[in-house]
Amino acid sequence: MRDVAALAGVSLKTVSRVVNSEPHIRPETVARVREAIARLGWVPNGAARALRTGRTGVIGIAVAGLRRPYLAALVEALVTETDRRGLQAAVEPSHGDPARIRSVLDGRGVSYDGVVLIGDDGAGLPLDGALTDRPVVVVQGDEGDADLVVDDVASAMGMVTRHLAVLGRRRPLLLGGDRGADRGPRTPGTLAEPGAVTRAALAAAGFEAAVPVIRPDGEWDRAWGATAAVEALAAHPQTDALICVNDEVALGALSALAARGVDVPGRVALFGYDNLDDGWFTTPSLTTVDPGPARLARAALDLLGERIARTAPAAPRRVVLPVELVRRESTMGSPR
Amino acid sequence: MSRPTLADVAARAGVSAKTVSNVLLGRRHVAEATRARVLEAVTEVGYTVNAAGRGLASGRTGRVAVVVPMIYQPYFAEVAERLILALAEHGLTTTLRIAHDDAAERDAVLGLTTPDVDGVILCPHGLSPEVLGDGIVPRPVVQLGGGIMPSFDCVIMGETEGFRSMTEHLLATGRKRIALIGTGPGGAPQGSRFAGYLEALTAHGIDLDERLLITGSDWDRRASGYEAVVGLLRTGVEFDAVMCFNDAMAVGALRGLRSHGLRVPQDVALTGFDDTAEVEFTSPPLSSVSPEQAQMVAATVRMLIERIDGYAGEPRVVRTGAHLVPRESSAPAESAG
Repeated sequence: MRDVAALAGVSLKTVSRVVNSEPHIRPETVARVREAIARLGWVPNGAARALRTGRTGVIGIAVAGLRRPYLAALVEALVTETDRRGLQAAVEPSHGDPARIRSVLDGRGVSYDGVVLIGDDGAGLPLDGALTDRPVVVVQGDEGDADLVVDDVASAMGMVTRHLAVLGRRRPLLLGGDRGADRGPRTPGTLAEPGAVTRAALAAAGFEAAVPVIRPDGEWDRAWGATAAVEALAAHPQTDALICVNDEVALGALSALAARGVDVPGRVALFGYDNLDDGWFTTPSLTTVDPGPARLARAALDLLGERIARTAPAAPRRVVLPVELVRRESTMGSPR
Repeated sequence: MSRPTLADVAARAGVSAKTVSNVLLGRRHVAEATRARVLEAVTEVGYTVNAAGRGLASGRTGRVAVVVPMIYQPYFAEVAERLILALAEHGLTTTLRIAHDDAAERDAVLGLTTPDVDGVILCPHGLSPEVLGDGIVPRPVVQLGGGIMPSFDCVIMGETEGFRSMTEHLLATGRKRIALIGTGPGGAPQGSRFAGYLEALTAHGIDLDERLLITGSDWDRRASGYEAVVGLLRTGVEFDAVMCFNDAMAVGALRGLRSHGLRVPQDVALTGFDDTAEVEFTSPPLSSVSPEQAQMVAATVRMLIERIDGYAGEPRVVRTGAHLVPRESSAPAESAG
């Protein structure tokens, strides 16, 4: 590092500050230091620093996988946010394997300063109490011993059901169940029945309580959405609205309905959740809920930062963030 | 109580931090009594040797940085995941970095934003020899995708081959006026994808009509595919097929065509590249080209590990294949329903 300082004509301290991306350094100075670093091929050695401070500057992000676009969007938001805070992100795709998840959690304090656990349905999180020993924040997962950040699904379903009512739809059907709330008996305060949150919202908006729910055996993906939509309409021909658990299911449904000449929204209105880019460009475009991944990421890292710095209260915290309904053609139709 | 550090051990043992480090790394010139004192202090203090410490001994951290322009586009999400899993099979952990522009890619390659890794895998967006300049690359780097970089090993996608096959496929269905929606400075598609398109046209004796070359303003977004179609329609030039540089643009282009009353494939054929999961479920499903990611990832990881293990030969280039995935969007116009 001395050579870098000498070449750049600055102090060791200044080199250190540039490397740590500290604020309030003149841009010309930053440029000079970086150029010196490049010319000398010097690589800042974080290992020695980590040994001295007990911190690695790395946040682990445990996620089921990156191929579900809503997970990719959330991971991207988290990586961007860790970068903004001068930290590094190690992304660990677990594919729902409890052993892999456990190894990420056990890695805390050793290779990670903290872990963000993105709870995906069916991922089988190991909530065995070990979570409280180390800094962990869960995003869109189970309530338990760790801090939790979630999007406000109940509020989203309230918006969806009010929108349905205004559009004059009377017979909705749930493709998939509740977004995020169906996590089984471990989640306190959740009714055991699938689709309970949505049904409660429908009842509050004046709909009948008996709403059919169709659940998948596997992933909530396009392929399932395509077959499920067709089966749903065959089994419940009175249905005039499909409330899909996420955009991928809705996009699959849209594809299958279009292939069969079923008019959306004329014959059946269609809702998704996640605000994936594809939903903006389908014909008709897809009405959806935006869960606000950037907001979720910021909140998660705020909480995690406090845990790492040990300035957080002992009890686990729960942060519920607002969402937005994005109204598009699959419910409102398009001008002819 | 915070996690015990090397300094705590040193204080407890009454020695310097360097001495503690030497003991933990098994260096031989430490006096036996000192070693015993340090090890006792380690137990008393509750210090655990961590991965960072191990790295000091061998100079290796067991970590690799994977640098991508974004994760949200399906191609990059899939590549990133494949790389992470392939590296894990070789006992390497991965740090994922998102580089938002050329300068960020350069910083990652030069080691500035990727400290403490044994190597870097770059999936580039805009990095070029000009952008990289003459900075020294301090760790092994392998590039996956993009154009050839003289400074490091590269795995080049079968884009030229893929676009040649796709163009020939469209010509075989009877289309003659194929618009190409892509990227390139100066407002015209360029690079290896364009080269494949041109090769096929030339082989069939068809002259290039530059009015059929369109760029979106942002190469990998659906919106730019949509806007390119709108622009193309405004020129009034005749076309019977639209080839897009990637699937994301094709999704946007599909919407653009349909919004303007054109049916796919009856009025216009439409194709993409990447063969993402999405395009199997568009209306209609989109023809695409699969760049054989598994092959690309395997070659990339192999070359990186060879470099980490000390291979010091000249930079290498590996070219992988690509295969056509025809779907309804390029079916012959007469046969479509």
